[in-house]
Amino acid sequence: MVGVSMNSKQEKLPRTSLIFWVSLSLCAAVAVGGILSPETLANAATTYTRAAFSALDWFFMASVTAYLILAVWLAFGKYGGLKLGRPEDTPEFSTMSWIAMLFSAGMGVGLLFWGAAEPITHFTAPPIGESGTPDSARQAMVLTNFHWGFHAWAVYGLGALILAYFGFRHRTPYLAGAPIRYSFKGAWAVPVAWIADLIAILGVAFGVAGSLGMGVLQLQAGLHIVAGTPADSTTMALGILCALVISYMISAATSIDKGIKWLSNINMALAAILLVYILITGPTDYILATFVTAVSDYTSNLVGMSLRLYPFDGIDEWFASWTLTYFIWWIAWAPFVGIFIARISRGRTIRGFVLGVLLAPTMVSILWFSVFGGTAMHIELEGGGGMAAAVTRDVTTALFVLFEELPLAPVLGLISLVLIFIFVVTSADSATFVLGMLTSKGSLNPPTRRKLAWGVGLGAMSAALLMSGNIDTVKAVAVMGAVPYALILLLQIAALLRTLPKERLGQHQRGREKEGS
Amino acid sequence: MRLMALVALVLSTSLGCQSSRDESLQIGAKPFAEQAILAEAIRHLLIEDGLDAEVVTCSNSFDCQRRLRDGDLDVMVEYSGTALQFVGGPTPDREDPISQVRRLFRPLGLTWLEPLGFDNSYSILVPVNQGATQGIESISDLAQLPTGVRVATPAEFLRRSRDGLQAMVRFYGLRLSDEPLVIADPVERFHALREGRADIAVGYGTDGSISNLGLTELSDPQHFFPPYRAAIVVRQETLEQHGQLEARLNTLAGRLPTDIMRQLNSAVQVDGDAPESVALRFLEELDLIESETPVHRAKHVPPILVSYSKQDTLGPETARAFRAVRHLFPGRPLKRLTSFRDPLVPVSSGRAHFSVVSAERFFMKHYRRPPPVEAVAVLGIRFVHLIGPAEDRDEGAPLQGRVGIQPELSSGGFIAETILSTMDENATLRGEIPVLLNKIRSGDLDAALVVTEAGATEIARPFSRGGLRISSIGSWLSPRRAVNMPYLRRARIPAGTYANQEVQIDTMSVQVVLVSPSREREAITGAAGPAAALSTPMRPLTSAQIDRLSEATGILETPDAVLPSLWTTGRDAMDHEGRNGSGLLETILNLLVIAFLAWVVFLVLRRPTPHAMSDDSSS
Repeated sequence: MVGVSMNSKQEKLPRTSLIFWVSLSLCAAVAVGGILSPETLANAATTYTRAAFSALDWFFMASVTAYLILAVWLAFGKYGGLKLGRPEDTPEFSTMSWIAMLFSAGMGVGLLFWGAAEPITHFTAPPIGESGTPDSARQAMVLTNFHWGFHAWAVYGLGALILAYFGFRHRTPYLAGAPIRYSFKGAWAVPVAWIADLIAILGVAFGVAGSLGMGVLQLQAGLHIVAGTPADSTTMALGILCALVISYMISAATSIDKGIKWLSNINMALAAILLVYILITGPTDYILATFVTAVSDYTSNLVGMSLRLYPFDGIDEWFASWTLTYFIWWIAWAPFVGIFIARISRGRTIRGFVLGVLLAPTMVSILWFSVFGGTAMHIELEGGGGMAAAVTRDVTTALFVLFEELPLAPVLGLISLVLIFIFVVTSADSATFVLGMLTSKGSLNPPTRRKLAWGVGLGAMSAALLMSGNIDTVKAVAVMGAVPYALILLLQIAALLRTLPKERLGQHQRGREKEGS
Repeated sequence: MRLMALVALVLSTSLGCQSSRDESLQIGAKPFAEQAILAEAIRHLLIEDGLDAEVVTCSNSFDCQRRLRDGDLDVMVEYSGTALQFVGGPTPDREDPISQVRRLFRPLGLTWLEPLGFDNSYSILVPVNQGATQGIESISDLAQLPTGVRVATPAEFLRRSRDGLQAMVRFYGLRLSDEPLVIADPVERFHALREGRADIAVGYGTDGSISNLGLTELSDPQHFFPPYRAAIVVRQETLEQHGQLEARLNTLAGRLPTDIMRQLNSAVQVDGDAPESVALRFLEELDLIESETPVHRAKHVPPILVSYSKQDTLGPETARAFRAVRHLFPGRPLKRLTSFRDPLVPVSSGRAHFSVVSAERFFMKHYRRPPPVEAVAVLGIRFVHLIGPAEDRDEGAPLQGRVGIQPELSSGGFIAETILSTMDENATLRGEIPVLLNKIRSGDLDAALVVTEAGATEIARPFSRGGLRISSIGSWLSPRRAVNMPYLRRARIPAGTYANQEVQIDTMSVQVVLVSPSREREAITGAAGPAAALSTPMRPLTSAQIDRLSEATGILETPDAVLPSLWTTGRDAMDHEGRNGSGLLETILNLLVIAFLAWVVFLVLRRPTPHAMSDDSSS
């Protein structure tokens, strides 16, 4: 192991330093450019993302489904028993903490906002069929779970699995290019791997800066609804950003098993309190019935939905703005969430990892949507109504309108604002960590100075985005990394598929192989 | 119909809120805006007092009256004149109508509270100086119409036996020329009038739309219509059950003079606001309820911003825009945003959701490329009017000489200026239409070139005094000019639009449209996504919303094909190949990705090279 790392040190030291400076200065250029000429930044970012996404819809849809199939094959195929690490390695985090961290990093704040809003949106404006009917209610739950379920976690899980496999098993650095460097020996491999590293860094930086900017705007909208603070003041937005930056910098200055872990656990605790509170004070039996129905509907529709592109239904627009958008978002977030999940998953088997990453979060999100969406549906169908009107009026208010139907509404509103804040801080903290990792040769514990440098960089980029004042730009920048990263992910998969057959499977696996053949 | 739907919506929400249906007081409302507003006001007064109440819409006055007497309803607002029809009609004596109904209704167990303040009499309306009814001032004069009277009316007026249409026709000795047009929505009724489909329209004295639609009321010289003083009627047993009720409801007494009621009605009928929110605003202003916001109304809902330019004087179109937008976003506050220069700018820079503009705004020189906005609905059509003195019989060069046009920065001023510049002419004077027409009359101008809707009051009124004439200008629009001013279309002003205008006027028209951010501008990343919870404030509309919007304007015509819109750029926001060269970019991206996929497949499938064997898998 020492030899390998010495070797990689000699080979990559200049390049990794180079990559730190190149990527940081590219980010700085975007930040400065955004402040000096927001119009140019907005035009460039939106033109590029729009062209890429409208041309490549088939590619994103097919690849996300392919990832899911591949993940399932890996879990149940002959390599399922391989451990991500040495045989004697044990998981670093308890399974509960692990799932909590998966969830905080991967879904974040969107879950809170869309919990009630998305089922109600599909219920009132279904892509197919009549709105407001029992059928459309069921369809709404299925679609929501489809967007937040296995497919999302297949994207994250596969990216993470590859890095974890190469990192823990073959001692490569935790860089996007490492699997390529390891598996392919052609002359092209070294520059391509370097580009892959750079794309991953930029993808994470842009994605998180964009998300940070959106988190700020969400908090601002939430504060506006709950406390009546100004809704569109840039000063206010920058103030919130400052608070966020200070918080995640403090968290980043501590080690991962303190800062991020604690934040994730607080997050999950608060989210769980909300969930259980609504489950109890809301229409409990209705919610549970929704949950059971949703699980059954989702699993029985999974295959059909995964490959459906609705060419005959005239709902391309719906499809593009929902399903496709979600899938692109998951890919855009994959370099960041993937590396982070890889980092916290040492010592688990491929099967355990895939099942954990796919099943646990999916079941939790089905439960989540059943509780929030089910309560909202209950208000709409059996109770006083008003949810659909609230969602049509302004999606951000849906959660707060839902709370008004429950006891202690102001407290719930406050909890959810705290939750949003911590979610955003956790994401940003994980991102500085991941960026630190990526720019210090994939070290599992990057130096604090480098993390803080990235923290400042992210803050500056978010400030630039906020000052451009154009939300479209913020969004476009956040998903800009999706296209190149989708290609990198394919190369990584190729690397994995070429390296796996060389594994000498243990006795157990070999036995299984014989039985199977 | 829309009004009914609105009322039904309010009803269903309010019904749903109440837990114990049996206990709650039933408030009756006839199916029109005024009744819905007043019923909501009563409901909120009662809720404020801790009583449960719900609004029930009955199908008409007869239905309401029957249900009130049967005890299905507890309270409603009734008009003295209407009520008297049910108990034998008004007596000819000079008794105060309210004390008369009080006396007649007491045996029925119904108590009339203090009058609210307004008198909602029927009114017979005609357009100002237009069409067949020019010069007619009273209902009795209608008998002079040689071909009989064409009537646009709400259904109930047909059925009422003592103060209805037939009774009126018999009373004044009129003759109907056709089957009456039955139109429920008052605004549509008045449009029928203005479009010449009817000679008179039946309205209510408190209709919110009368004042801004250029209508006058005919006098009722022989007092066919009794007074219709509005008051709250409550069942006696209900008053006895709830001691505080009478005092509480009487707080409204006298608080609703006719002009206030007209404003409230206008908020619903013209601006399309929800009756409940209009009622709440009114009660809050009078301090009759705490202004603490009730449940179900989010506290800080950001308003929808509609921008328009004051100089453009697009009054009716802006009103129509408000109605349509309210219809699309029910319950959401609307805010007007006046812009001085270009009303497109607030939308294109993301500061307003909508803008009311005339089509030529899209073609202003300062746009090097099209602004990122699109037309979502047509709000009206404006015509180019070339007006000169009546005695001028020279048809040859009407555009030469001293020509007056509308003010600088106004839509009409811009069009007229562009037309004049093609003739190498300059405007002698800029001013509002009445000023220009006065100058023609006084001989200071040879012509006025103005753009406004056909039959506009500000032209119709001076025309009825004579001395003016509209000339045809349609032949000016040569194909070459049509290319330079693509927003102009050949059109004709129908004969009889203005006084003494016996022939059609051949001229040009331009659309007035509602504009919202371009769907093209939105990144494909829509509202969805893990971190995309925030609602983008100025998001483009979906095509379904656009469909609903153009339905709500009542004008089914699509925006002119030269304007960017749903109908010219395609329903699918992504379907823009060929625009801005992105088609090429998309093809290249596709080819690159396919090549890349092929390469990856090749990498996986080719035979492993011996030295690629890993050296540390043994560890």
